[in-house]
Amino acid sequence: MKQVIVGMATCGLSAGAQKVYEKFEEVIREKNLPVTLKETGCIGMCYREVLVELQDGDGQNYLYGEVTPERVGEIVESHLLQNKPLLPWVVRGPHPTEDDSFFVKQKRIVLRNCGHIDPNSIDASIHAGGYHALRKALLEYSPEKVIDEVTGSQLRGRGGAGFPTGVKWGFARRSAGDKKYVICNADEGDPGAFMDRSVLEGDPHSVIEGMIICGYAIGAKEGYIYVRAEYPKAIQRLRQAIAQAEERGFLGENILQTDFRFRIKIKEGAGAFVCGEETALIASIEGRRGNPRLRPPFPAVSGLWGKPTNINNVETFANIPWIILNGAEAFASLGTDDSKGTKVFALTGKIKRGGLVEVPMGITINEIIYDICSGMREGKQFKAVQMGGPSGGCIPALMGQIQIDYAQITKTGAIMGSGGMVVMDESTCMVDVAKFFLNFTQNESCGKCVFCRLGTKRMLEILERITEGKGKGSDLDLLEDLAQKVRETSLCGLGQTAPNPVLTTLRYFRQEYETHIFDRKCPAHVCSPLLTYTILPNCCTGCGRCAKSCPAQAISGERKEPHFIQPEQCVKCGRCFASCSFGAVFKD
Amino acid sequence: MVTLTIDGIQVTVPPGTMILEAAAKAGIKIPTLCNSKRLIPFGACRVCVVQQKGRRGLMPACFNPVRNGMEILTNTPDIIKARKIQLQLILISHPLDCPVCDAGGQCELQNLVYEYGVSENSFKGEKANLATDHVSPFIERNLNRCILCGMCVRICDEVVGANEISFLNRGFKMKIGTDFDRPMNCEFCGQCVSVCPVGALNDRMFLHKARPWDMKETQTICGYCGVGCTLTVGTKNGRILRVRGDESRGVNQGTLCVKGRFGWEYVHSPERLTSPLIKKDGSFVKATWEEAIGLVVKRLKEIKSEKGGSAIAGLCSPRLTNEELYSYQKLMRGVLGTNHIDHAGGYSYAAPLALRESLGYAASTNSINEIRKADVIIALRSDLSETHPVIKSEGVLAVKRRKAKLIVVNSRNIYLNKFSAFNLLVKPGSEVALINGMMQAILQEGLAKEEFVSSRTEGIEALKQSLKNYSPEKVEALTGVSRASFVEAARLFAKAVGGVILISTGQASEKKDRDLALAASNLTLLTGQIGKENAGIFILGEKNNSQGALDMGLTPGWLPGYANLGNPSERERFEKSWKLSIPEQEGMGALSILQAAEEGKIAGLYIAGENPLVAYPDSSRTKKALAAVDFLVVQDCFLSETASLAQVVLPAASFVEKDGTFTNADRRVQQVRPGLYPPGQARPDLWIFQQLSKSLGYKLNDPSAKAVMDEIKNLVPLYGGIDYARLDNPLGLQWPCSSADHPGTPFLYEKDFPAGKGKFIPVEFEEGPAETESPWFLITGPTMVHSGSLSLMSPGLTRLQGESYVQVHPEDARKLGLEDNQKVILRSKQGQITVKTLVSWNAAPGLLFVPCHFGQVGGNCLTGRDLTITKVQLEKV
Repeated sequence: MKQVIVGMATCGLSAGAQKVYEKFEEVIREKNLPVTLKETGCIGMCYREVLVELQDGDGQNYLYGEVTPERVGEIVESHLLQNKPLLPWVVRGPHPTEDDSFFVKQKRIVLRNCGHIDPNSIDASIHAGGYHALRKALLEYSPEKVIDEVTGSQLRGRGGAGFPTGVKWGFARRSAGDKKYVICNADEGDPGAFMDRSVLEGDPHSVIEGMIICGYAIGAKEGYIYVRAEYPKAIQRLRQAIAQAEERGFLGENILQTDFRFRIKIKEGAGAFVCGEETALIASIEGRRGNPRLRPPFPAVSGLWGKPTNINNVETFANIPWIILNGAEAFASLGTDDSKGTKVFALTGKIKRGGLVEVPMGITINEIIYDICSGMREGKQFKAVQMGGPSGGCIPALMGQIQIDYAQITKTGAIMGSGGMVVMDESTCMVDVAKFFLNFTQNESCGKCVFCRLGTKRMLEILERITEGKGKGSDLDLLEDLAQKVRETSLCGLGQTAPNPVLTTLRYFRQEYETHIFDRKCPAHVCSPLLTYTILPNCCTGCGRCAKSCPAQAISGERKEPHFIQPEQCVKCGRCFASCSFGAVFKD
Repeated sequence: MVTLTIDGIQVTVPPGTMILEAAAKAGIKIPTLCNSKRLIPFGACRVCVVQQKGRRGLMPACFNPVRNGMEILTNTPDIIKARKIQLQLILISHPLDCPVCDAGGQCELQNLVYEYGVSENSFKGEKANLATDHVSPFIERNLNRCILCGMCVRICDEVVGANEISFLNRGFKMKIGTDFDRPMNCEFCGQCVSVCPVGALNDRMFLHKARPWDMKETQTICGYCGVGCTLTVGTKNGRILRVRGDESRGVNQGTLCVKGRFGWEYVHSPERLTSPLIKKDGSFVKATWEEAIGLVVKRLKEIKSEKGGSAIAGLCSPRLTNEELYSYQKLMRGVLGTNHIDHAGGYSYAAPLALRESLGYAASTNSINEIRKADVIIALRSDLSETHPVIKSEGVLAVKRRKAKLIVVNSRNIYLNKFSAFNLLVKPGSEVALINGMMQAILQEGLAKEEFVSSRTEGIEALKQSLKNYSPEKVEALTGVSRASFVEAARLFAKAVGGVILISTGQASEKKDRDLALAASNLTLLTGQIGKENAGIFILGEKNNSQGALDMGLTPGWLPGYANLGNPSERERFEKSWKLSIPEQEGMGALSILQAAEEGKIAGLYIAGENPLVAYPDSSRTKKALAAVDFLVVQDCFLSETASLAQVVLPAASFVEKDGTFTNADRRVQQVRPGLYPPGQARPDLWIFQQLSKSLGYKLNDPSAKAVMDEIKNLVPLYGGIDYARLDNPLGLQWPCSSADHPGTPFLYEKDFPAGKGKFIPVEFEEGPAETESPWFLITGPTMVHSGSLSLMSPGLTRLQGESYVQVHPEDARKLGLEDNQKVILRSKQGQITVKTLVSWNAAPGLLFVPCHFGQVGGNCLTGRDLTITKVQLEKV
């Protein structure tokens, strides 16, 4: 049976996968073809969306990239009817393609089923090994043995802080309580991060299975998935998957004919970034304002409704079934001494191949940037990578040899984080980057701690001042002072890490800051108030296009004569630069 | 214990202590802007950061517990720098309008800025520009001065349980407010104002009145309810300007209710009596004290000589001090020769007397602050948020901090249900059946504390016998409460480590108070919830000195200290000491006095502080009775409804104008200290009693209240060790306190009961007569805003609640086609009133509530002297 599988995760959908799917549906119906049409989750190659996989009768799989509704007819005609694959559009298949290198260095554990199975079907999940680990854990392992196994795998929490998962489960198990809870933190909020969304959309059952195993291990009977409301597709898939799992008896009473029972509820977040912090998240589930609270007591002792609670991130849970099935050693054999297993990254920014990758721990940043993502676009220079979102920091290109490993990344001043990687090239201004992330945390601070509420606001104002060319020599010291205090005196992770982007850029790109302040220049030509536009007389043909485009009437000149810009009138909008076809407008 | 050093000073504290408290113990003050001992540490202000030797970074002292061997530094350059930056950050948007800010001089921020010398600011920014709330009653909110410490939000949640204000918005835009920024509409207890470290929340009555250091502050005891909160009364130029609670003093630990904090305006009411009045030709004429006392003495002497002392009767208010109450009964009994004296309607103290029968002492068994440490609390027919809001806070603390289970037994859906684990909505008057049902369930499930019952109680067999009639099925039918819920509640109470029963009483009590208290006493004896800490029964009196009035023998049958009037040797003890003779015959109670007056048997009636016309049941009959008295003397702060019927009116001082002691609901004798002089010719009641007695030819006692207490302690063994020198402490002394070295008794019956054993006294539930004509049950009582007549003279309180109303359940309102605020007529056998409706879920279907004050339209126009639950008819106007 031939199959057409369309990548229908949010990445695919936003590239137009819905229309492509409908087109396939229409053509298949019209021609009455013996072809099954299916959905799947994120395949990972977001830079090639829309992706469509064609499984022809011979068991060969062809992955078509950049499929548009217009191309559907051709693909059907040529490949499905005449069995002639359209090789120029195939990004992965039986024949080598240039995109193969995207996968060579990847190792897929969390994403084992993502982009392969139909996330709408529990059968597809079970066929791919889903709920086998649950069977093994429930029927063969004691709860302690499950925890031993997870501890033995040395899996560390993938939400960012990297606390050993098995140890955390142990705490929750040992906490006395008539009721315990398992919470899956799916409040993924870092700018540029979409690992958890992809897993929930592509393989929801793996997360649910991980949670049930956790419930069994710690003695909980109820679980919550706290997922942000901005992920409608993930929520829909989760609801469907929970209903299916209930129907099959993986959730509910007497799971797998044992006396273990477990249920999962979904709680939609209301859009506050700070609710990704565990105590704020718990407050939010309880219907209270999402403010972090003091720890201890830690949630393992007193969490949701005051009961012992184990809270893990989506990716952590998705690792669990694999660990149970393949054994702790198999997982621990991957990675470095400090960090085992794999890590999923969402790559965005100036790289050629943006998307979702899963790599073994210990791989270097350069390998990810150059080998998997094929370097920068437009032949530009790799400058830095921002890891760990607004809580993380910028690692400069010079440190590209750093291995992906909790300890090593922390040493740079950045953090592993949940897996967002924003790659920057020479055209990125690092002060601007710091400003962007600080603006984000400043907006998302809950407002409880004075330094986080007021300090980040003032830090942002200093950065704004610098990027507007109004910086003072003393600003950098003030910035560092404030950053230090915000970090030291904030209650939760948000405040403690909010200065990281500023501190790391200051550490690695201090010169860029100084250029902004002392030379009143932005080396990357990003901060518009610091730019000067001039017209090079020898290149200007006097066509007058720039003068017409100028909103401030700052450009004047005779026809066919070189024009010039009145600097005091120029609002530095850059329209003249964009409008000139002769490269006569010079930006500095 | 944990030992650590703080700034080189070694200190040993219990584990779990926070560094901040440990430092305080070492005498080191760590500054903080968001910490209060009444609140759970929150860690928002970060001013309290300290350093630990050998560790990097700063840590807040308020929520980091001590560890052995810690070396803490609180004043390093790094810490000082952090604090300075922090203050600078706050000062960017803080308005610095200190010269016109009421907090000036007591502002924590101002003090810190001063202490750290923050005169310059390296940061610039706009001043906050938010609208000030000029609308909310009593409380002004100036959000621009707010430093977002969250103390107001937390106290409103953790202690008050009202959750009226909360954090709004996020990050830099965060502010504190109500939903959709409406004006506040809450209990107006003002706890938020009391914790605000800056001038963001202000007492509206105090606005721009005085600088804190210009006021004289007097510690005294609140004159409203029986909780006995300590008030700090700020006065200047002979006027009260502010009342606040001091968190280091009193059972209330700083918590006050709306009446206590804002209800003092009556003291300065222009309606206050400032001169004695004598009725001439039907209208009052001002008189001197000599004239007034002369007339009273003349008439009383005449009556005594013509008709004997038994033609004279007295009603006295439990609002008076112990010394006054004692002197009053001495005057009436010894000098005027009558035992017809009573207080509070004569029926509202049935509950404590019942406890005396079964347990030994006529009072609450434990201390108020133990309630917060209980595991299970039964609020038995007690609408605490209305009657005793500060006790409600104890319950809120127990529920919120200790996860205690609150069991509400009431015939209305009272506010307290918000915190309850069980809302046992009983048919009116069937509480006793419910408690009996709970006891039967406890017996059947074998949950009774056998050892306690066998070693410390007697009469269990009779109880078991009587409880046989209270099977769960029957109790379900009698009370209307599902058996599953009351049986589960019974289990909870029986298994609790500390089980507490709260019963509020007052002039709105009904006849069943005795049964109710006995049922509660049986339940605690059965489950062993007595004679230990954090358990027991609380009888919460309605008035500030309800307990003292009983202790001082303001009853027809008991002499001070519960000495039996009928016992000649007891009587003799007093006669000897007083050098007076006391009539042998037990006197009449309040309602009998009125009955006798109606029948013309009482010729002289001396009323001190009571307002029977409003406060006693069946107002129209009371009026008839008072009118039938030949000579009526009323002594009060105001020309009350009752006073206007009098021949002579004597102007009395209010509680802030006199010396003395009040005894609160946990037997705590506390000192009342004057902050003001009485207005005009008004005098403390004690002075008046002494002058009257003097004119009658007997020196009642030495003039000072202190001297009277010395007299009391020699005659009343319970007060044996109580003298003013010992009372000068933040918590008073709890009786029994038999001698000068007795430390007082926080909880009773630890080792034994006065009679040896606690007595089970079975009580049967009696259903009221079926009455079909009047279909509505009527409950009357005080409200949170008003209590008796004084609060009605405080304009602030009357703005919150200015007129009487009838609370109707929404379902009933729908059936009757009634809307909110609609006039209806209520009619009972005793009378009728026209009031406006208040449609509220707090009523229950078939049941109406009318406040028991508001003179001519109060609940007592409808209630009857039989004291059973009144039934009324309701008609639309």
